[in-house]
Amino acid sequence: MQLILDNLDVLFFVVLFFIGYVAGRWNERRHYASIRKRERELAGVLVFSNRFPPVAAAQVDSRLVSGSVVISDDYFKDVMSGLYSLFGGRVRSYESLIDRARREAVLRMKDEANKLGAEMIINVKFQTFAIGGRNQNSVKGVELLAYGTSLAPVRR
Amino acid sequence: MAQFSNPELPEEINNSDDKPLRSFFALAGSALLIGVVAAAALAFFAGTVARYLPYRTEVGLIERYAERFPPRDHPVEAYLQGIADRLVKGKDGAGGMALPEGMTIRVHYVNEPVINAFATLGGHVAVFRGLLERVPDENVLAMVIAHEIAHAQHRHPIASLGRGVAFGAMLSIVSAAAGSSVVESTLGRSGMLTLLSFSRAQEEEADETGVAALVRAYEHAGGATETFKVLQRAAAERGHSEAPEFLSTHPVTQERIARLAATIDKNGWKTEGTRTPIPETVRVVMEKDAKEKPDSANKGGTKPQGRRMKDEG
Repeated sequence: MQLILDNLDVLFFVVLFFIGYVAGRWNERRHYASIRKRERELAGVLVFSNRFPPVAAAQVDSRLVSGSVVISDDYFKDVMSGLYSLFGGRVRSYESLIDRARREAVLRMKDEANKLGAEMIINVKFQTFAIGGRNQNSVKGVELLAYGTSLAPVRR
Repeated sequence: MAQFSNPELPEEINNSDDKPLRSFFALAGSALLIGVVAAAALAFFAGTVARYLPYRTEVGLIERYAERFPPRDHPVEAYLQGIADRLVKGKDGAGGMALPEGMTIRVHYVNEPVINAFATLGGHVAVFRGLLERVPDENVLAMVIAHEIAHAQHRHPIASLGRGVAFGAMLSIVSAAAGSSVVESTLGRSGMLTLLSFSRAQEEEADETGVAALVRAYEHAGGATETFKVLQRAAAERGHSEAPEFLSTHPVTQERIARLAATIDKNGWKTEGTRTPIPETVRVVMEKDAKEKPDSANKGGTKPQGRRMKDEG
């Protein structure tokens, strides 16, 4: 009992680490499955970074569409990032976080465009914000905002 | 718009970590290994390195604790200091102990019934009333003090501290609290760095240097081997009501006593001579002190608990 009390912080670490890993992995797997499914569904809405519409689409209805998402870090990823910061290299634990955020934001933007009847979004841009993380106990997360101009064929 | 398309991108480009747990064990394992190797090397060399630490730095480490224990105008403390000075300078200043450059020994008298004495950083030596009451004469007491001064002379406290801090640093990789508690108890949260423990080799070195100083100061080794036996016996007589702290920090083995006797024999020192009694005035003051509250129990916040040995595990 005394041993447990003396090493309470080790115990906390192990528990948080375990929760972080299991929950984080589970969430990530589910999120990726959902992302892939919706990416296939919305494959009809094309995304381009060009500033001007292709010539073929002369008669269009242009609208600003955007999608944003906030994805949280988990304890496991946090520990991993600490280890990466020690040894350098790709911060692999955060790569999936950013990847998911970017794809989710694009999907939400595409969803909006799809509802407007658009078939493409041009001039797509991304913005990333780090949320929290300035002090040690705050929740670390990432906000990703994607926005662009949706082009829908003009209905007559 | 058939000429345009958004191809599906391979998954592993932007998200490369498919085995995060394996990456964790690889990274954490190597971090732990590096830390353990570094701390072990530090702990291993701490004793050697610490001897090269300037003595001034050592004094600086203990300064803020030492300030709380200014020299007192107390007959017992003055008496103890006198013995220490005699040991350091030798009989009639004929050369005693080779202290490091700039080191001065200051003896503190602690008014508590604990059977203990210890040496810590900065040449500070503490002797407890409990021990003083049980020594039959000055020679036995001088052996204890000589032993403690010898620790200081060989820079054992700083070596022990270095080892403890290195060990704490190593532990703190695994657990921040466990590590810092080790560092804290090593650094002496309570003030006087009372818990520095010495290795057996250090104890033996202190025994040898101590007995040599005793002989130089008193011209014979009387009381040297007796010291440990006396303390052991005193502890046995008292039963288990008061743990003989001195014996737990200075384990007495037959081997150790035999080694001490062998050293005396090898150097051809006289094993017996005129014993110096403990002055009656000192005994009287101690008896009076015994009736008062011990140091740790009074004077409010001005006296930190550092003089107690029992307050930490």
